Amino acid sequence: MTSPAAAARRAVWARAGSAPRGAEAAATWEAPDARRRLQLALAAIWLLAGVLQYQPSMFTRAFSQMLAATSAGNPAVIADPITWAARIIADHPTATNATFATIQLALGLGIAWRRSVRIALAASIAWSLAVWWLGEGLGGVLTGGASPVSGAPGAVVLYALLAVLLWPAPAAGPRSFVAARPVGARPARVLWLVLWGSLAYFALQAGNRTTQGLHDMIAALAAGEPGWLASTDRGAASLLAHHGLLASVLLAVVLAAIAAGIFLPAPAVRVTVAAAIVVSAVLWVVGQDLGEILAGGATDVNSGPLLLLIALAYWPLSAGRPAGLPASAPAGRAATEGDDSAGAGR
Amino acid sequence: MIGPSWLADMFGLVVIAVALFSAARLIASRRRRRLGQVDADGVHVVMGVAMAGMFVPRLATFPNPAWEIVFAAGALWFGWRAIQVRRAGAGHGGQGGGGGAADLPGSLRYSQNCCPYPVPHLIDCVAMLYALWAVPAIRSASGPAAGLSGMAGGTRLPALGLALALAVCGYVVWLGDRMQLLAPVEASAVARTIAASLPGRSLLAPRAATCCKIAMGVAMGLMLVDLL
Repeated sequence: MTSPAAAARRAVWARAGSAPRGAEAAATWEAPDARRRLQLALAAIWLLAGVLQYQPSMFTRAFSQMLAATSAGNPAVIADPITWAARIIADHPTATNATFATIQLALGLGIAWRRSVRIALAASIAWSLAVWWLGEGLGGVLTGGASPVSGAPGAVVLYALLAVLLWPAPAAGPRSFVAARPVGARPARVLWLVLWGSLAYFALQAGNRTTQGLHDMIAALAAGEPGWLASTDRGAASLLAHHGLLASVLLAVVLAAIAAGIFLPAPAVRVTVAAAIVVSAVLWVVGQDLGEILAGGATDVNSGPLLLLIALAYWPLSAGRPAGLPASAPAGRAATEGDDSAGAGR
Repeated sequence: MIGPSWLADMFGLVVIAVALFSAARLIASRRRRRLGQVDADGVHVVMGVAMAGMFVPRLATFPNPAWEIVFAAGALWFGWRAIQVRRAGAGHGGQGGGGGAADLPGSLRYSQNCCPYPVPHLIDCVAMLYALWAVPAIRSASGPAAGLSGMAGGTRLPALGLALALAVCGYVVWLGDRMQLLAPVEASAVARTIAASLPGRSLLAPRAATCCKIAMGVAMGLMLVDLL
């Protein structure tokens, strides 16, 4: 069933050309559902990451030095390939960085274009895992210095997780949340548990438990940031001064509660996911300074927005409405209509 | 300036190509009596010329105050159009939403030669004004060319620049999501009725125009991030 509004939208966009395939594709176009909207948000973040990668500082040796620094503290089997990759980038900074930036732009555009969403998401998984290792040193999870406040377990691995959770799998019946569709509800909840549970674990690592650990981490962010963000950093750092252990334990408790809360009944899951959204936003602003984009030299938005997107993928959907259909769609379509027809592989 | 000079040259070429395409579309749609998007194409022409000067200093044409007037006028136009579209949407049951009156059949008979989605172009114009205003050194330069040459760090309101860059990235993926809609023949009866209300007036080169909007959006995002 096609609503007049949807038909009008199509008519605005579909008044030229001659390819029958395109006509078929346009006829099957549906307004973005919850999953597609999250895919588009992921695409926008990839696009922004690509744009950030084009910054002038990325074309200098500073970029390769930044990558090489991530090898510190990692076991040799992890560190050696990082050093090797950093050396290649140092030898060819312009070509390699232009390639990286273009790949990330292409991933964003590929996810945005419905015909290429599958291949783009698959490529983004491979790319993310490679960058997580060679560009982020596995987010420092093996070094003992990882902190959820600063972005552990590494923003880029969250891109890969999102690609999995938002994979355009066909509808196989009603799902209680978007992330359940490609992998099933229980595995999706286990992934949530592992993610947020690992964040709780990282919060309690030795470096974060020191009395001044969190204070120093946040206070160091203020340099180069605009005044309002720097003063936020200074305020947060002063609150945490000499309370590093207490703050780390409290943060770990909150993160652990979020991790376990996904297994509760739907009303409590809403509270859990809302808490995850709030925590993600606070970490992004206070602990990550909006990815330090405003200070220059950032290569991505850091983990805050990605954690937020992941949380949204677990938001309980209305009863009887499958994860793949828009709010306006009749619930009865769930069993008969996937989203893979005519290139609409959302 | 973005990275190495060849990269800045490349993006300068891209925005000039978009400006040329938009100018050609303006002319062709008039000559062939096809529907165009006069306001969107027009703003892309001036944006392409202005941004080329930002990417490649030797391509700078007019002084900043002239560009500021142009983009302020553009922002006013698209702001007014956005209000019109919203009102038209409300007049048809309030279904217009953020996308504008294109959600409604009646809107198709309204301002046929204007872009049905003025808000993104409003953001484009605001972003251009921001780019001209954000770095104090730009204002004293003879054109926009000096604006992106290592001025980062002294930028005014960088958070606004980031917000605009995010909005532009969102617009680009929104366009990419709708590329599939740029198809030829309408299958549904409702859409055929709508198309019949516009006899002989099909939109000229919609896919190419959308690709140009995407290219312009990416270039705009680069420019804004470079200012941070």
